[in-house]
Amino acid sequence: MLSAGAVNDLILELRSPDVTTSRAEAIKSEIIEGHQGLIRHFIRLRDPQIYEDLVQIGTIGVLTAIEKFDLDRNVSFGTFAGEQIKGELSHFLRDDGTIRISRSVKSNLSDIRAAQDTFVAQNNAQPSFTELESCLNLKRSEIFNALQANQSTHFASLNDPDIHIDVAITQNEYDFIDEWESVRPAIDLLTPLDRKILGMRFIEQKKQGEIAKELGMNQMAISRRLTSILEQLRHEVNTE
Amino acid sequence: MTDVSLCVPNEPEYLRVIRQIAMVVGAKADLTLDALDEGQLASDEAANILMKFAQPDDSLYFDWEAQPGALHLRARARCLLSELPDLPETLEYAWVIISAITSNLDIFLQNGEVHVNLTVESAM
Repeated sequence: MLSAGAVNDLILELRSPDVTTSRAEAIKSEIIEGHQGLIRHFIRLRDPQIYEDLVQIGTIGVLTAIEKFDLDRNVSFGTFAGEQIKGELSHFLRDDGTIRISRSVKSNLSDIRAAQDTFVAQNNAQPSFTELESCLNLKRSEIFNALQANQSTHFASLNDPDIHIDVAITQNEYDFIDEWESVRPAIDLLTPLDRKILGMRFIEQKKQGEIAKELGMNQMAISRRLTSILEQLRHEVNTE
Repeated sequence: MTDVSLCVPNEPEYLRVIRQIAMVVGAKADLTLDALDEGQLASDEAANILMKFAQPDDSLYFDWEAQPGALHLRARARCLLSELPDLPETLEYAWVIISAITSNLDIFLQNGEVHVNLTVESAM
């Protein structure tokens, strides 16, 4: 990443009336290149199917920051650019058709999650479907729609607490060899948390509820992430 | 007794329908949400296994049955091969996944058809 001073100098030069078009493009490219790490930091989840799209969206955030950055304010370009990148990604993730969920479905999902958490806290066990249904004021079809929406949401909101869970995992903690060889490149791209979840489920053979308890997450969040992880693995196999 | 039967072309576009039926029948079996999720995943993997071995322009057949705490699936399709290969070696990670999420799994060839029979249960 470029230093704050170096970025400020580049922006000053960019805004100079004497700058040529080609030099202006070169400056923008240098700033964008210098902030790739920041963009990837905000993407966090890596779905190879649209990961590069998200990098492009993040790049728009950097371009917006270049345009709007106020050199007189006591804020570094990196901080300002981070907010623009987050804004562009949130806007895209909220509005893009692949993950659009209606407000009522979101609300139902939230109710299901709360009812499930309450049941687990009171009974130390996952509720059966009927037990969960009896805690909710929802029609069965509404529950199905919400559960389906949960799985089709590959990207959690940037404000989703689960996304910030940090796990320590070494490259060799799980023995993803032999049977996993064909999907090794996709496994190597997983975040530490997703790698941990994959290992806990299929190497340690733990149930989703157990993984959720151990990681301090909700079972539905584990379900969503496992669905996304397995789709990434299948994508890897299909594109071989 | 079968709760839902389905016949679909051997095309991946129908996986969504298969997952959805597995969810509804799994709810009828009163599975927990994680078992419900895995019932869908197992049905999805079973369909993928059939697609791998089935005739390209043929149909895939599915029968789901709900029992208290358990979802059973019997799936079949006309097979391309006269003999099934070593499944763990051929299916690789998909074998690890489907083996991990099912309490009963049987894949075999009979009368020119490949069969995938499986059960997913709520954790005891």
